[in-house]
Amino acid sequence: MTRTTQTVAAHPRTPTALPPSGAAGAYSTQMNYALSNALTRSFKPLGDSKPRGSDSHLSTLLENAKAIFKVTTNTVAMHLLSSDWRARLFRQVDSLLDAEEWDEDDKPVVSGSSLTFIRMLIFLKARRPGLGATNDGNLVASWTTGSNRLTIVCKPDDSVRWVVSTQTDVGCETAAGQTTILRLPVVLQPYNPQQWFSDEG
Amino acid sequence: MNSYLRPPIVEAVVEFLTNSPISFDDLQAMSNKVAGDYKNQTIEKGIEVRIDTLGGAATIHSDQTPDRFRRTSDDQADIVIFADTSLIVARAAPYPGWDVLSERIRKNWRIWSKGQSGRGVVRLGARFINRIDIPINGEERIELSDYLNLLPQIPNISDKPMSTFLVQASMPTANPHWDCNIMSTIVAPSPLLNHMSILLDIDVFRMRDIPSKSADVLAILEEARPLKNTIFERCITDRARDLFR
Repeated sequence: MTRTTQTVAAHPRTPTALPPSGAAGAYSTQMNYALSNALTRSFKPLGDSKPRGSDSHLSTLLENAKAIFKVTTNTVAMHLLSSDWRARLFRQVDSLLDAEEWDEDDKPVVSGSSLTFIRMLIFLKARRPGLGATNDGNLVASWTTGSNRLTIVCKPDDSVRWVVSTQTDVGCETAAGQTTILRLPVVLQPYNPQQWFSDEG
Repeated sequence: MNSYLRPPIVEAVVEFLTNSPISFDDLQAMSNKVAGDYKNQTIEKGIEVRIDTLGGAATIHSDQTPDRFRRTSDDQADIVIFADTSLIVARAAPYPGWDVLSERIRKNWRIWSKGQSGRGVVRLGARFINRIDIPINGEERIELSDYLNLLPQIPNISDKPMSTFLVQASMPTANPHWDCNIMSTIVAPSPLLNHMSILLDIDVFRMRDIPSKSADVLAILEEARPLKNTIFERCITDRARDLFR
């Protein structure tokens, strides 16, 4: 019988559903977490159950959002610049999602936004941005170089909204749009995006 | 053994299994003792559901399983689980190396193992889940054998590439006390843009001749290290290694 070469589609469209393995099942729930992280990236809340601040429910939601962000980041941590880079990013997230500072009317950051944020940073090989959040739970990354500024709102499913503000010979010029992470280098090209993404380790 | 700049380990897990159940109160005390290293605690409630279809109509039985104390570090990378019949110590990426992991295992083991007499460990396992992220530079298909030596053998069914695969094998290792499970599959979608990812899951475990003395159990865990390393190296190619350097 002839055999084909063992090739696999570079863009598999079938989401992996790994069947449970009896031989490998000893780690039970632990492995479910691992496989969830590695395969489907469908994360459960993992956070601290200790309430802080005036609203314990909000505090728990914020702790969960922090945990999900960190788990998401850890899944691809081998591709980040350094452990120090990761540690500083986590400190930014801890500060952003601090229950004492959070407006209780704002929605905590959603997991899909965290995933888009991390995928975007790795894809762009961008230096660590400033961090914010919209009131509907999306992370906002921002880079400033001199008086030029790039702001990107990270929505679930690799969707991003970008806003550029740059100084030109005729004054301040602004532009904005909505696209996917993959298209960002193309749509930002006229604004010399490396001014925001390069430098820093 | 190669030392990689960017090891592809997404999770390293060491588990000690005992046949002597531990009480809820003892588990809680253990969990409290590690709060300094593992800030977050989740008490996991388990339910076992059985569906019996024998004799016509399906009947459903459910039983609550003992609670587990799951703790994670502030960065969510270090995990410990105290369960009624097991201790699990795990590390997510970034993997800091065996020596660091080993020290964390040792600290938790001291708390769990109940002094020199031990808990009667019946299974000792070290499982390393690796994810090989392969950049796609416009290719429509990836030749698996460029990266992996653990491959499916597929007859000539179609000119089109596989959309996914799963290969799993269980076998003894070179060390007569240890066995292994190895598995590879596709991770779809890849967590990285413009990449395709392959999971390589290596589980080495020992269920025979496990010493009863607490200190001796940790000593034999060291045997797992070269075993899992050798299996990993034999499952991958130089082209895969280049991705981690």
